[in-house]
Amino acid sequence: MICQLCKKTPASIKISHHINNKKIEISLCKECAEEKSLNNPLVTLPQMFGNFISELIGEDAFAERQHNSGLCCEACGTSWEMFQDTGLLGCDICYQTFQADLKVILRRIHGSNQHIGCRPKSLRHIIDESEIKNLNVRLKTAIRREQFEEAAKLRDMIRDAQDTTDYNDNDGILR
Amino acid sequence: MNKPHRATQEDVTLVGVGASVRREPDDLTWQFASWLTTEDEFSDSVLSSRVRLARNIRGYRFPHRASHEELSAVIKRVKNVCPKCPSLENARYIEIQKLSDLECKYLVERRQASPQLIESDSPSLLILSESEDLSIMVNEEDHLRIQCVEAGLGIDSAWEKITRLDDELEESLDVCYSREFGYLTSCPTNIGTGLRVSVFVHLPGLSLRGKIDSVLERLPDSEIAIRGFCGEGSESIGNIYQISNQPTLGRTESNVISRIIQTAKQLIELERDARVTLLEKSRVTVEDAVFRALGLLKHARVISSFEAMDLLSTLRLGSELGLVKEISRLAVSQLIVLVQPGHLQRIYRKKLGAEDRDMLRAEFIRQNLVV
Repeated sequence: MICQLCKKTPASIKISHHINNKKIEISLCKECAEEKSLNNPLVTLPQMFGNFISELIGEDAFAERQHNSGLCCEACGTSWEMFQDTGLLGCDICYQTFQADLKVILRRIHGSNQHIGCRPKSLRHIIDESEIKNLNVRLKTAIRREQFEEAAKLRDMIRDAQDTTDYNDNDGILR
Repeated sequence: MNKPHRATQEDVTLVGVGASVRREPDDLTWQFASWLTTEDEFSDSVLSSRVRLARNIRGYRFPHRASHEELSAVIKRVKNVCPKCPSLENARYIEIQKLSDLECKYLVERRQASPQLIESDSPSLLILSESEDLSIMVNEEDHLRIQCVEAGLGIDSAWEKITRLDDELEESLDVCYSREFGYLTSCPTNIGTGLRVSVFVHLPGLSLRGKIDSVLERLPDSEIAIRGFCGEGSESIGNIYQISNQPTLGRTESNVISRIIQTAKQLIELERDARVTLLEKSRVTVEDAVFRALGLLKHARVISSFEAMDLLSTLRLGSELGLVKEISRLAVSQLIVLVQPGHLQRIYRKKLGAEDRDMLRAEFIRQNLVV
């Protein structure tokens, strides 16, 4: 096996990567491993060499999206082809430009295309639609149980939340 | 022949190691990182844990597409904001382009900079907190890569620190975020929470028992990846493995953290069982491996970084099992970091070729294992 980095010297070190019951291996020579500090198991390794995205989601995911060919992000000039080559997007607006197809790709990578984690501090007071739904369910339960104090509190929370969801413009990106 | 590295008044003695490493006034770091000097109840099988968040600042293209001017503007912006963050009090601001190759290597080994950051020719910055636990890489793959490293399985504490810093930064920085996709990153593999949690586990017992491959191949949580190093055959180098979460979208931060902790604890349990079985069933084999390692480390004249890693890993097991009483586990863990090429050249304060390095590594280890 020849070193996958310099493609000259015989490889003597393998970096193995187990994910999803699959094993991916990268073979390197000692010189390249030392040069790139990959001889140190405490160094966090780069995701993978080359384009990790296509390895992760399969080349066909890009082939199926040839209709994007020629499509370019107006804000940064990144084209679909450039994304395909590097696996990297150019700016936040790219996520709008390629939104429909990215959603498919994100689902393949993460098994989901909807964020449910933390929000920036400035948006934490805003309650989103799913939370409003949840509050409505709790409100109905409270009324049914005749817990009127709790119901009034929930009603106010829903009213406040509906006032603040106006920020949600169509593209979903905050500006 | 190089002069032995002897302690003087000005030297700073490393906690737990007989070694003394001179501290220079203009040093990149002025004390030993907290993750290198402390331990927790899981330190028998966990070396350290790391939490990182990927963030981008609105109004600038992501680093790989940004112009030189844009990247400089990002740095200026960040330099302006960071001094306002209480978490970064007395932090150091290190311009990567002004560093020598050696200093860069040292920072990578110290886990403050990534290989990608130091290879970049464009303007990039490293911000290091006083105790070296928190750091921010500016203009790596994303504008900000915030990270926290803790000893042992200190993920909760790392998360607490990093999320506090993240909030402090967001007071003044407008980050790229969408309701649908969460925090937006250059690479779609980091989108959403932008969170990657890694634990560095030391599993020599499973390795000696010949169980390591089957354990790694059947990791119960399919969303957690594990990476390790092997030599020419399939033998592991140093028996250190990195486990980390893969998906970052559609999961909450607390879900990711609890799953990583759960997987780490499962591995720790398996490793502890393996060690007990080894002592019960193959005590002589373990003792032989440990004392051979100690013998080589105490007497060898030339040691490569890979060989050192391997021998120190076995010695760490010996210390943990109480077979080697005179050398502490923490001391061995520290040596694993100190004998890396960048550290070694910094300790001896000169650029060294591979052969000289291997010689001085052997010398440094010999001096530090003298009881």
